[in-house]
Amino acid sequence: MENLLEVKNISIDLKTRDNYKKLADNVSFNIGKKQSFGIVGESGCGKSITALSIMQLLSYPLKVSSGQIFFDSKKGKVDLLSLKNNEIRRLRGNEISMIFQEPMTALDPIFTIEQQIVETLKFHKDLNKKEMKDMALDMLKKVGIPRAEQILNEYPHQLSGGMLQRIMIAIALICKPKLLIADEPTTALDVTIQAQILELMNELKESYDTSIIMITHDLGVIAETCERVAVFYSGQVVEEADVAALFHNTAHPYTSGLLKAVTSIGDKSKELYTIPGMVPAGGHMPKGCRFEERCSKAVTICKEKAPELIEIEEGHKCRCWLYNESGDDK
Amino acid sequence: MRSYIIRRLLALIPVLIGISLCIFLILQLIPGDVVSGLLGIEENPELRAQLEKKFGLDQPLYKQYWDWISKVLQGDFGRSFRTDKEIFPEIMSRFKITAQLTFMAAFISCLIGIPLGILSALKRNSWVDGIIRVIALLGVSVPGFASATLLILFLSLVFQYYPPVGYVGFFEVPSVNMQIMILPSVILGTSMSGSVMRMTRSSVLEILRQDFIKTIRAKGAPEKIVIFTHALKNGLIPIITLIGMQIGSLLGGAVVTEQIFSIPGLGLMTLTAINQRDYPVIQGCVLFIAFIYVMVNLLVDILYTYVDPRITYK
Amino acid sequence: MKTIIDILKTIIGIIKELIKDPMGRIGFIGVLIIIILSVLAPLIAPYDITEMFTRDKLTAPGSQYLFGTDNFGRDVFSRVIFGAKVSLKVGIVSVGISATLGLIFGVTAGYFEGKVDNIIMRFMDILFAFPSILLALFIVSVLGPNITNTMIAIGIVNTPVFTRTVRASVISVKSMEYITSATSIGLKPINIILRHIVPNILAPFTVQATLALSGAILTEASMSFLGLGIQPPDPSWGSMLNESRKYMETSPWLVIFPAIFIIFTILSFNILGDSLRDVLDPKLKL
Repeated sequence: MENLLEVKNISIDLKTRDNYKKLADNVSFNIGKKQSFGIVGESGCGKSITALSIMQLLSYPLKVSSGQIFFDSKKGKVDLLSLKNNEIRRLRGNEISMIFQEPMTALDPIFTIEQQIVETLKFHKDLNKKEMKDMALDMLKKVGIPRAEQILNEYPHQLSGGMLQRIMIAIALICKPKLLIADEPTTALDVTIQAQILELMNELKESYDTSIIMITHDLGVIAETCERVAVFYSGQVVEEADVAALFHNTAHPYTSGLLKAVTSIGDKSKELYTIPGMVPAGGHMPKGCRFEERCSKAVTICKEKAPELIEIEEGHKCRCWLYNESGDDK
Repeated sequence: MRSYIIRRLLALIPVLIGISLCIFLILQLIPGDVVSGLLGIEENPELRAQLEKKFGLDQPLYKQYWDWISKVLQGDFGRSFRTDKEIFPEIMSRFKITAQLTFMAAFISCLIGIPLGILSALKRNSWVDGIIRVIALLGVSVPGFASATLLILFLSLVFQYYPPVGYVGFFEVPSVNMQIMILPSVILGTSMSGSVMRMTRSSVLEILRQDFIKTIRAKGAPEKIVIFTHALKNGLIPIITLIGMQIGSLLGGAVVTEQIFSIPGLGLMTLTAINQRDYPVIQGCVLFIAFIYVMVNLLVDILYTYVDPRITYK
Repeated sequence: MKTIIDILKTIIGIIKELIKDPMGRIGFIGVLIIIILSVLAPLIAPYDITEMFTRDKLTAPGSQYLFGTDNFGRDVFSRVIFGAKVSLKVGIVSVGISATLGLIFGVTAGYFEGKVDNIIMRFMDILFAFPSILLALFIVSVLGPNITNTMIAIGIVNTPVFTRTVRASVISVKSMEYITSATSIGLKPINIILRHIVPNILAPFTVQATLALSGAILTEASMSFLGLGIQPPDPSWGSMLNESRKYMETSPWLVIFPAIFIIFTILSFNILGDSLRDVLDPKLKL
């Protein structure tokens, strides 16, 4: 398989009392090997649930209603969504790992750090107690935890957010997975700690040859860590490109809006830029483009028909009526 | 750790004093007075004076209280008005019987309640869950005496079975003792299991909603480990508290069951004393039961600190 | 200012929400049945409850005596219906006592905190230190077993639970911002309590009251069963069940009907309380 992960036409539904809301609509993207891929968008745009769906971690009332996710596993190409329980769990924590946003609540409060790191090894490897402890120690040192020997015996509530996130990374990488999914790993941390964690992730990515999916709402994080990025809006991918192209050759008006909002922060003379309007609610999708209401560049067709995600340049996709297949402006 | 226990014990002292004061003062509210009750119709001034002196009723209130409480601390609960037997030894021997009943009931309630509670949580909103919740509701809503009476009715009509009368201690003839104790324990236990089921269900569901469960699944854990190693262990904490409270309250509250099955326990002793207006016995029993209840709750709190590492001994 | 109409509207709204859920419907109807029975008891009961039909002692249920007669020849059906009235009366009055006391103590402890809080909660701890039925029996043994003292005893026994619930609600509401702003603009404590705090604690309070009602009925039945609650010849399901034990084998109807009614009543209140909790939980304001 050429790519490591191929997400194809994923739609995710949320079951409500009498109906269902489509929270992710026909999402597709590919992750390459040893690649760091960013997924950016505001809260509720569907980025987290798409990530959770990769390892079948969605539970009722969320459900993947259509699509496939192909992964280049040790046993060849598999459709992750078609795997049975015991098959997918062999991959979890082993070939694909995930870390989450809130390190303070992400670990079981009544078990020690050692027990929780070693648990992953117990699920996937056949080692004795000493070997596992040594691996755990080694991993803790690799993620930059001082006094690792001591930390092993402590409980989560005794440690800080930054430490816990490092431990989460240790747990995630201990089996040397091919893919690490990081769902807003630094959002809950102080800015200085944030920088440290991102740096750590970059280093580890190099030494472990792991691809990373970095989910965030912060373009700054994307700029620092990612090679390629997909922009989500209202359950759809609206732009996908290499990071450089995204920043310098921005295509979609929403992406431009995001960039403008970020860059206006340092600008003391003007007001902070915000994208006017609000994200459409899940159940009431307009028949045209979902961003049309808030778009400064909207034209008549935007209200009538929903645009498709097309390749406007090599390696640069966009979902907007402003562009044609070969990248000419309309 | 030890200092924590000591501190908790010290904090208990005002509560225990308060309890004893409460009991003592409530008994002062008796309309008419104790001696009249004893004398009956014959009002004999000499006899009255004699009795008053004997029971120390001619002393001022605070002295009466002090006399009583200082004797209690030495293990002397006084003597019964009716039988003139020492109260404390009787309390202790009866307590063992009630304790046996209580622990058997608690064991049964856990045996039924915890597994069904877990099942109910895992199969949330399915028909299995529905049935279990109804059973739990019945457990909580059907009073012990109603289910006991109905059960005895059923057994006598259908099987011509009557619960054995006359108590036999466990260490004397275990088989007969079990025969006597099994029915009341089952009644009490199934009653208790209702709240255990509900507490287990809500506790497990609450835990399964937590973030760390996601992490454990993401690590590749089989569902069994998620439920039993992580969710249940975390969920056990409030369940332990509940069971502790129930044990504590059963030690005095099994009164009805003891009455129906003629089990000579502490509850029945208290009830008989109440019916006979045997005030020293009432006083002693209520004090003892309250004391045990408080101690059991303390023990549960201490157990709590062992189970949950987040509790610090501040 | 909330008018009676507004309050009624809210109550009707809650009932509507309640009925949507099947369990809520069951609980509501069950409780309604009991209330109707107790209110209309004098009209529904075919016979006088103390009248003894000496020639018809221990008759099985039939067309003349719907639930049969007891060992004194009294009509069981009439007695059971009046038993509903008694149980409900005891339940409501005793819960009224504990709810009122609980409200006063709980609001005082929660609002003022500090020493006042400490003293009140210590006192509640002491009351809590007794298993509830034991405490009720103890109080009644001292005051004398009759219906009034039973209500007082159960009222006292349930006060700590109410106090704790109210206090917890008050403390959590107190920390909310609109209370701090009310205080900062100079509203007097009593105004704050009445206008802002009380409406917001009504939801957990109502749920607690409903569940306490079922508990009170259960306690009264247990006490009467032991002979220390409602005294004969007044009808109480508990004492009727107790008296029936002697004649159990020959006259099982004496056991079955009071038992069914006790279970039905307590069950209905519990189901109603549970469903109310589900309905009221997200919505807190009156």
